[in-house]
Amino acid sequence: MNPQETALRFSGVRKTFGQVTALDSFDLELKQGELVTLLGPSGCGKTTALRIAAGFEQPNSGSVFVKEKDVTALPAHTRNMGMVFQNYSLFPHMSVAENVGFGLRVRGVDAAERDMLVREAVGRVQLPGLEGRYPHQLSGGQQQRVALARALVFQPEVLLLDEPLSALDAKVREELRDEIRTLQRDAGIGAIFVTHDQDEALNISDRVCVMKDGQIQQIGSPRDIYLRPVNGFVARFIGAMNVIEVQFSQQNKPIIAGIELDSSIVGPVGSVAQILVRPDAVSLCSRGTSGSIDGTVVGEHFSGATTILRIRLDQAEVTISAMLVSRNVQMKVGDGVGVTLDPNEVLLDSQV
Amino acid sequence: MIRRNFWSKVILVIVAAFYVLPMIAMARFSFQRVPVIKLGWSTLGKNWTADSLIDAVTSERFLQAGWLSIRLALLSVVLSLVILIPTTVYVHVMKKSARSYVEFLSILPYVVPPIALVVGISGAMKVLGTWFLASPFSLVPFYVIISLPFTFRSLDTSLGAIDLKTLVEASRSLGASWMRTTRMVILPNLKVGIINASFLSFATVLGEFTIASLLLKFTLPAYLAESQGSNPQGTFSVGLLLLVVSSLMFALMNRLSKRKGHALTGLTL
Amino acid sequence: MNLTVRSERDSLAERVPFGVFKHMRSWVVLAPFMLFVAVFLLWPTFSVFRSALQPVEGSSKPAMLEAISGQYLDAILYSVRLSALTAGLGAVIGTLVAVSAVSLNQFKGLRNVLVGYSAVAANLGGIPLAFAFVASLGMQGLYTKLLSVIGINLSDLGFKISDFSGIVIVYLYFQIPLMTLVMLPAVDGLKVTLKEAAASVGATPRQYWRSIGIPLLSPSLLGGFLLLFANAFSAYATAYALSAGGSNLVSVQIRFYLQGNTITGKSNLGYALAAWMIVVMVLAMSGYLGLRRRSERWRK
Repeated sequence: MNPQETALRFSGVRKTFGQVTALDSFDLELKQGELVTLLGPSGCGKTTALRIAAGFEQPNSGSVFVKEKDVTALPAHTRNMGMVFQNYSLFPHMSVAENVGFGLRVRGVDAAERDMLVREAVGRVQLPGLEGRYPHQLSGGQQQRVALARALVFQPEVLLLDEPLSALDAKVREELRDEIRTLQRDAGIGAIFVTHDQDEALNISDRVCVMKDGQIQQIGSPRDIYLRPVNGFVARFIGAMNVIEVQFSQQNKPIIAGIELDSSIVGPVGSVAQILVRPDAVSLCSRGTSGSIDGTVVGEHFSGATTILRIRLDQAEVTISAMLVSRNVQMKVGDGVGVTLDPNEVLLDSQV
Repeated sequence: MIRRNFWSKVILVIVAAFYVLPMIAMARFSFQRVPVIKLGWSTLGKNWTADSLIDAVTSERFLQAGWLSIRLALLSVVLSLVILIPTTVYVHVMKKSARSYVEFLSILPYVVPPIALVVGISGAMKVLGTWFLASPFSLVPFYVIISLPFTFRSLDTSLGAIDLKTLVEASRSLGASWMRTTRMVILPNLKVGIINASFLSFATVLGEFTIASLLLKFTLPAYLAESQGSNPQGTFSVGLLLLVVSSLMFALMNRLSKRKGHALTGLTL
Repeated sequence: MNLTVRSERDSLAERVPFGVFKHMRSWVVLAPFMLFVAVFLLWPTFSVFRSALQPVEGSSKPAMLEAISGQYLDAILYSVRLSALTAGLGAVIGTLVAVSAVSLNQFKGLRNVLVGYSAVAANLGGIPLAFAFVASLGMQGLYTKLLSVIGINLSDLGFKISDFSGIVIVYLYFQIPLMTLVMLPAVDGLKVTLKEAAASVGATPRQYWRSIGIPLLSPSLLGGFLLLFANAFSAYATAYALSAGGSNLVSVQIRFYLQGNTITGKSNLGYALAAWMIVVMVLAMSGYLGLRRRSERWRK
């Protein structure tokens, strides 16, 4: 499969449910071998988009292309896509082998070949020997692996995953997350992954599509999304953000607690705005260092490798978070510190 | 999809009609003094009267049968509860492992049809002497038996809805006496089950015919069978009354148990 | 203030002071229940089988074997036919009702009304129900008259409410809601996501029904059928009232033997027929329970 080829394309897709616009002018191109995650809060339209791709919903307008073939009008069972569901949806009366082999059976593959392909698929999802078990005898993680095998065994054009990890325990979730990625890469298949969990999204994707209220906010690599969010929604949705109220100086630069920030942000003199900065872009030094803002440590949250220090700025009504590598933390609660914000990492808040 | 909805509605309407129509016919027969032959558009509204019902319920035979049936029903309810409450509480609080044995025993009555049971009763009870079967109250233990599947299930479900054993242990570890625990922890959870079991048992006994008739006891259904020939309208109106009362009891019970989240499935085990 | 907490075992000892073995002590509480069931259920049942296995006067065969020969067999087969037919019809119609209700699930409350009503109707039976149908389709029935007005004369067609076909119609009144109650949870179990999963691997709607829908429903369908069969087979009062005691059903015929309307030596036949009824019921109910367990396993 040619990695540059487009596996799936949404073109101007629009979907309404009564008065509600679930998807508005949705355009997205999925390349072969790429994993794109649709990320957003409930109601943002990510699941609707996936279901339209699968054929379970019809768009009001716009089209869906699979390898440049228009499939918008095609019924779901003819689209040759593999799908993995949040609650596994394994056929309860069939064994693992029968579940996995079902897609092959309806395609007319003969029993012997089916057997071989099923065994191979079950092995690839790390469940060798469990072909004879039934879904109710399997754990959640095992069931989802069977679902994966079932979706991939007939070599579909595209893989669709609808919050596949949401119903699983944390530990299982992490394991399976990496396995899904490996399987998808090995198969060289394009995949669309829907989730509301941004850690998953950042971890697993080639590109992330952040959505809100039926509209795409930003599409980019996980790094881009995290470091260069294009608006306040994306900035807040991904990772943590400090929100600081500033006023603009005579030089049109933002002032925090009397210190002027030498960043690229400008604004009308005297007006008030909010800026956003990531906790990992906040550095600490001794109180009184020139250019730093004075503050006091009022909280400490230890999370193993990293620690978050909560610092109350002396001359502003705000407490900000600074994320530090735990080993480097020398301050404790009550200490005075100086806070500097990396001027290249500061964003002007614009609420969408 | 739309086509399926259409047929679904059609089916439900037809079935609903099947359920309502006989009741209408029964009511008409009971309350309208117009023989069917003479029934036509002109006579449709004439001669509706509740006389037949009033006469029937004030008659000697009805009162006798009714009084017996009510007493039997009440006694059956009480006996069922007396036997089952300690039993179900025990298997839920103390010895959960015994529960499946008790459950098995509670569904055994299903496999013995009332007619077969009464056949066995006449044979077996001869040993006890005829005095036992002569009393009409000998029906009570058998009524408890035939309502056993429902009554056990009602109590069992209401106790099983929460983890009673843990609650009782918590209560006891906080220092409450057995009396207190029973009053404040066990009984409130039993309330719904008791109501269900009582209603089910009561309604079952009121309508039970097989055993009563073969043991020659004069209960309400036996009254119905007896007076059918001599006073059809009156008898039918009493029958209708019985149906309405039973239905209301079941409906009420349904409503009461829904609040606690049980669905009544009656005969389904 | 005494804050000592008494252990479970201690208080049980207080209430049940006798009994040496702890094991035996626990079963004591259950004794009244078990004793009650033993005396009022198991003993009569045992007595039925004891008499049934004894020979009828004038023959060396146990009554039970005698009972399945000749004319007696007719009664059993009659009951079986009636039960099977009402079970089959009830199963089909009850399933249709359940499927209809589920597909109309946008009407909230419809489902609840249906469950509530079915729970009531499944338990209605006996004499009042027979009356209702006599008033509807009997000789003097309201709908008999209505039908004759539009040209369908029931008695010309040979239909009588007390005959086989009449009893079938009456039995359906409680068979249909019973099946509905069995099938509603089963149809629910066919979640939409299963259909979508099937489509996602390429199954056409027909393939879905053949390989997934029907197989998932079959235990409930078959189990429901068995339950309805058992229900009809054990019924007595309704048929008795409809036929004024003259029906060919086993249940009604047993009464015949028991009331001593026949040569006394044959009374064991009554027991034998009762015994066979119990055997049939045991088979039907075990089948139902087994199937129900399987379908519940899938539904978890």
